[in-house]
Amino acid sequence: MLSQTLGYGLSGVDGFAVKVEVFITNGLPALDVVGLPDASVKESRDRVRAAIMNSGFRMPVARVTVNLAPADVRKEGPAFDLPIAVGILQASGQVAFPNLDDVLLIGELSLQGELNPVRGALPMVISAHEHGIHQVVLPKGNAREAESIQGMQVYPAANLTEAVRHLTGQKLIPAQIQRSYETCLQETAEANDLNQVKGQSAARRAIEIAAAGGHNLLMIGVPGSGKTMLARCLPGILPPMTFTEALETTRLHSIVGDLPPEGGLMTRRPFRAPHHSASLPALVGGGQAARPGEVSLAHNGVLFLDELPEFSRSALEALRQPLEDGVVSVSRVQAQSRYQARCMLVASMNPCPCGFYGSRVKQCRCNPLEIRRYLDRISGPLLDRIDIQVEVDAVPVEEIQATGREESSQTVRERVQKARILQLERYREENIFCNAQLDAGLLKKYCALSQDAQEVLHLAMVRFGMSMRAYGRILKVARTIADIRNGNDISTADVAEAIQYRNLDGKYWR
Amino acid sequence: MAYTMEERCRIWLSNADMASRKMGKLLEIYGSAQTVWENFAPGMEKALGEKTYHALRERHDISSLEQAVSAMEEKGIHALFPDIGPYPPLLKGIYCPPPILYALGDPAVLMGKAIALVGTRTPSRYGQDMAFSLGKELGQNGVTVVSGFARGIDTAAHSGCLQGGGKTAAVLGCGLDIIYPPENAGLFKSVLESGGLFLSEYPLGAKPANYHFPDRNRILSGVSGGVVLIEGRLKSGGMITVGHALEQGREVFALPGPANREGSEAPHKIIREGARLITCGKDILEDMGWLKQDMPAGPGEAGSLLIPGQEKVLPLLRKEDLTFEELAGKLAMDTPSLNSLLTIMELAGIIKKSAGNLYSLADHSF
Repeated sequence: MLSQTLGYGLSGVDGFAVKVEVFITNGLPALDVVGLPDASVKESRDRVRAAIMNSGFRMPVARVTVNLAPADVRKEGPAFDLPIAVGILQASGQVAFPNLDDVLLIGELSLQGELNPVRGALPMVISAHEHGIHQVVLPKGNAREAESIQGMQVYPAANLTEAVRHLTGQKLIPAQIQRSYETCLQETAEANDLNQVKGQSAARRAIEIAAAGGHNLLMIGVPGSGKTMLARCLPGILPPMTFTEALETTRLHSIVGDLPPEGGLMTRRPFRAPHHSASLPALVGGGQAARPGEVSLAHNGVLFLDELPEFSRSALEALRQPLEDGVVSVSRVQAQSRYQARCMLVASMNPCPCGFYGSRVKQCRCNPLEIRRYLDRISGPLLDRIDIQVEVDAVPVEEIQATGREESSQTVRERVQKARILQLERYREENIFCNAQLDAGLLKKYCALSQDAQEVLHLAMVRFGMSMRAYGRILKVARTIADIRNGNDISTADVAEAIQYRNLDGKYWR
Repeated sequence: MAYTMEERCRIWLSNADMASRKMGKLLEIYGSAQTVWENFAPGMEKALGEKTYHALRERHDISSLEQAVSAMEEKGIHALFPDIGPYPPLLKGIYCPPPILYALGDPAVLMGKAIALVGTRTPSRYGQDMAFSLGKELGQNGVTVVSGFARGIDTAAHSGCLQGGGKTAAVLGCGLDIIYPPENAGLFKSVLESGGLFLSEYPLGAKPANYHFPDRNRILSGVSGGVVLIEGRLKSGGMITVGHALEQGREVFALPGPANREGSEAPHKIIREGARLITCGKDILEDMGWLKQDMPAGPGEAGSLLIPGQEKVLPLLRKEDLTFEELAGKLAMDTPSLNSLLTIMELAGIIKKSAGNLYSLADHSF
């Protein structure tokens, strides 16, 4: 007998429909899976057999053939266990199901018959929904992931028996109550709050400007000056993710299995801080399984590279493209996957190899040659993408004049959000959405300067021997500063402030 | 360059790594380098020392002499001798003036007023800034700034002089074909382009060895009318130079510093012992009797530029250097406004920003 159930496979971030056909005929008892299954799919045989038997059903003593169509695309992962098991039960005549063409079945089976959560459930559900499938039976552990897909009936099942009873109509599982995105948002836990950072007014301002305009940021400071703490505040002052952004982000994290157990939609912007010994594939993506890398897991969030000069040159070089395009192309034997990777880059570093150049508490012991070599390790192209540079000073705690009225992240976030809205309005026709993305042509159009402002910028160019790229960066930042104060035109003060945060391509490292 | 036989023989002696003092003694005994050349024989080995003797013997032929001279000529390096030509006049008067000096550039810069600026290789920012501004002021007033081209104070002094449009002379502890320290390659070029001078007792190819520097210091003070000790610890090269200056009868000046900083040790000590306390180039000129009645008024009077808000910042920075954070704490100003104000003041040259977000007055802008 022949039966057919529906499963979904994953290719990169997208799901594709897999028809699971089961054919039982006379012959020596065997269970074969065809359709380019990978190792874990092949192992389904043993899991499914045990699960069926331990759920009170009978494993047919006959020749069972399972086909996963389309037959020329590789199938991966244990998520096909459930459709295969259900297919076998149907084909062997043990259970009579109504039409199963429109129900997606996802789940890994334990030997006892329990349904275990799988990676990538959310992308599968999204794709299925896009293809007109409106019902899905999946493991309880994956249910929350899919809770905000409206128009989808999600049935969480704990084991094979529950799933079967639901599908036959014998005992229906209540559909999960899908929640609106706004409800999910309200539950977002806060990132580090800015009011926990004492003093550091220059750095706080730099972070606010960076968040408001989407600018990449470099923090320079002695060890222990709070660079990491400041960086962690950044996701909390960025505007909350839109539903689309949340879906994108959760999808990517779901693929690598990074969602917390029973975790639902990710509503907080990701903060990824890979160690500087991370390999190139770990950072950018790739490797055997063509996983998304840290830069993709930071999509819609913040990628924090602590101790930038310690990262390998090749890894930093490989980051250049995703930072520019916002996507990473990962090649596999059979296909190519594209993962999104639009994130804000925050980097930190010491001012010199010993870390204490410019410190007032410890004497720097480096000679000029050592300092030069250390600073040269940061590749030009990466530095080029960093619009804002700020020094974070380490002043002994007792000396900081805590005004006691440090602003909270919420206050700053409100300003950032207003500035972001201004930018979205302004660039509606231009296909970009923040000041950091302005190119040379758009700069001319949107960042005109008054005479006075021009003079100041010109003076700075001469004084600091600025390149045209540095000039462009300062203009972008000035535009953001003007947006924060809700100004239409860029004032001289805006330009002057932007010059404070100048990045001069590594020159003027004193 | 047509060198006489005597001169070539001195070059020959110098290329065998013979120090000035030794050469001086030798010349006394034999009367001239040429005599040494003509009477060069194995019997001299004991007197000269084994190494020197063999080095001399290797080069004891006419073609070696030619080679040595053309090597110098290729690089534009001249040899100076006490009795002939543009040998620094002040140097002739010291005890045991070098029988041969190598020069690259214009020796005329040491024919007039010259002052040596010396100090530590690891100065504080104060010391570095002061060396620069003193160098600049002297340069602006037609005084040649002499120093040792080392890291720290020396480099700041040379740079300041060039910035002031003046001439500077550097006395090196190595051959003139070697640029040491390597990061001063740019400065090397600038000195030559501005008509400055490099001097050395050491022949081409001589590496900068530790024991060269104390000897080099006596040349520093020897070519100058006075020595200014800017910053240094008690046991420092600067103190050695001061010692030479006293022996040579030169004027000694010192720049005071914060009392509790190690860099002020040496200057404060010699001030107590009688060195002249100076705070600016004008003080030096005054003491040397070089002050003209119609001298241009001191360093630039910035602050005549009207920048609204600077009157809040300047009084604070006149007392001490402050970080951005400290300024923000003392002033009732929001961060964006303070940022803008500081930038404008920086661009106007009134203040400067250095490592650690530290702001200070630029170059004597009182």
